[in-house]
Amino acid sequence: MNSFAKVITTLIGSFTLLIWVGKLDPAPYPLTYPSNFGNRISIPQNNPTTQAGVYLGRNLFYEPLLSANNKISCGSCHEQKRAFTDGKVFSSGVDGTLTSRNSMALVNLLWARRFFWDGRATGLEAQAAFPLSDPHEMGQALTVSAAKLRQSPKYPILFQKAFGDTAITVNRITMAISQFERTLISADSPYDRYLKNTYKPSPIELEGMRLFNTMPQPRKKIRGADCAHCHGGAKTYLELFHNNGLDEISTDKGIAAITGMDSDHGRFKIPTLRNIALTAPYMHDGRFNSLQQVLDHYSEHLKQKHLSPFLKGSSNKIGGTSLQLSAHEKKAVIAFLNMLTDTTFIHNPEFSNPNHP
Amino acid sequence: MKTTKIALLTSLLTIALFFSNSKVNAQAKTASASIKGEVKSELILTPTDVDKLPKTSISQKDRTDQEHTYSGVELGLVLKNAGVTLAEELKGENLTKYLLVEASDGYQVIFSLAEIDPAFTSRKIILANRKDDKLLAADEGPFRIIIEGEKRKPRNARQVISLTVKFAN
Repeated sequence: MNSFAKVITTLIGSFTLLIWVGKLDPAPYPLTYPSNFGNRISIPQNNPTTQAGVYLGRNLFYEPLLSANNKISCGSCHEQKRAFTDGKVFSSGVDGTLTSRNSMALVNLLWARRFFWDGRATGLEAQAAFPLSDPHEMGQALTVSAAKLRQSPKYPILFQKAFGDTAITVNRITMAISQFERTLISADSPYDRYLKNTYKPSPIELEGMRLFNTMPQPRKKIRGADCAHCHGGAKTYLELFHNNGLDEISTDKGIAAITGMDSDHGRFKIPTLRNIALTAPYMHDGRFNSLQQVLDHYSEHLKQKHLSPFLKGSSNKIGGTSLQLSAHEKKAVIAFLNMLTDTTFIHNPEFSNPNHP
Repeated sequence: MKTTKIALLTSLLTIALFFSNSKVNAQAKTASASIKGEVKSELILTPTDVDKLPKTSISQKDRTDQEHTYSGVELGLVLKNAGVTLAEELKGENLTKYLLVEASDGYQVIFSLAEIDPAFTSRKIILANRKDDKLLAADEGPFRIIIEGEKRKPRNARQVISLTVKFAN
């Protein structure tokens, strides 16, 4: 190739690259999931999920510049290897204080509408703003975050590709993070494969599955753990808020702190059980270190005063006030819960920190 | 003297604000259900309000086979009072409307308007505020949906706090 051709080729290449990097990339991000998850998903009309938006959101999710001390990102309290939890009872914020509630798993959020343990945020975009600006979490006003990102060499172009121009705004930050979070779909656990007839559960897993899905009826000699009442369906998630009898009087009032209703005392969001074996400790205050402790609670220790009505009297013993499962039945339920661990999800490179491949 | 007056005024204002806030909080804690959406006028119903409306009762067994009598107002009448398109108006696109019932725990169930409208069906669906003559306890009230003759009962939602009429997309 002569030098003239080299110059022309370089010019054309540079021009093409310039157009490519500078252009809005509206290619939709394919959100694929099993049909048994249903299509009751939440994507705002003004924030469609695009490949460029998701890539930007993924970068922002792992971006410590969004915190006041430049050390904490969303990914600090939501680690992929732990199904996007942090393994701690409470998480440390930029000011060194602890959060008041346990870090929630970020799994299958596409089907969630109300967020946080008390459901105070409707929609992911609204949710994302809280931890970013909470003084005990990332502790930085979103306007400051936007200003810091404007100074970073990589972000203006990523915002341009995602939103059509280089403007870095508060809304675009939460919109992009939400787009990324919507892609965190877990649908390849042994349980999913069982539902697709490509996995044969062991006898104890099958027994646990039956108990999980069965309401106890001691008068008819039907034994069950009735977990599906709140964690039912293929997603093992129903958007409900209940008091599960942790305390007679809860120090954390849950949604009652918002509604002022005594009937909401100690009510919290029912979490998904997807990847539950990876997300210890459990409950809103991380009081249980193991699934065994969780099963022991439902089996023997339900506190009755504010207990949600469907749990009252739900027992394998006539007149019982807790489930009264045998040691073997608890083991079986835990075997089933382990079927919900999705190793594809926790190793999916599309969900990892793009700066640390 | 001026300082004393200002201090007195500030104290009075603080007391007044305290009591006005207490009133707001007290109101917020009164259990009620809102009727909203595709309605002519939004309503807030308390259990006491329902006692002033024509009452209907339905008996049904609980899961321990104990029979209870639930009483309340027919759901159709509640919707009629809110100006929902029922009877002669329930035709055409109005037949694509549905009622979303929501409980305080996030539980949701729906009914088509034609299922509720007494002009369409003789099956009663009530918004119950009493069980065996007593106001529903907090773990069941302020309202519970009771459906006459329903074989499976998951639509008998407890702790109902809102009724929203919507168009299907």
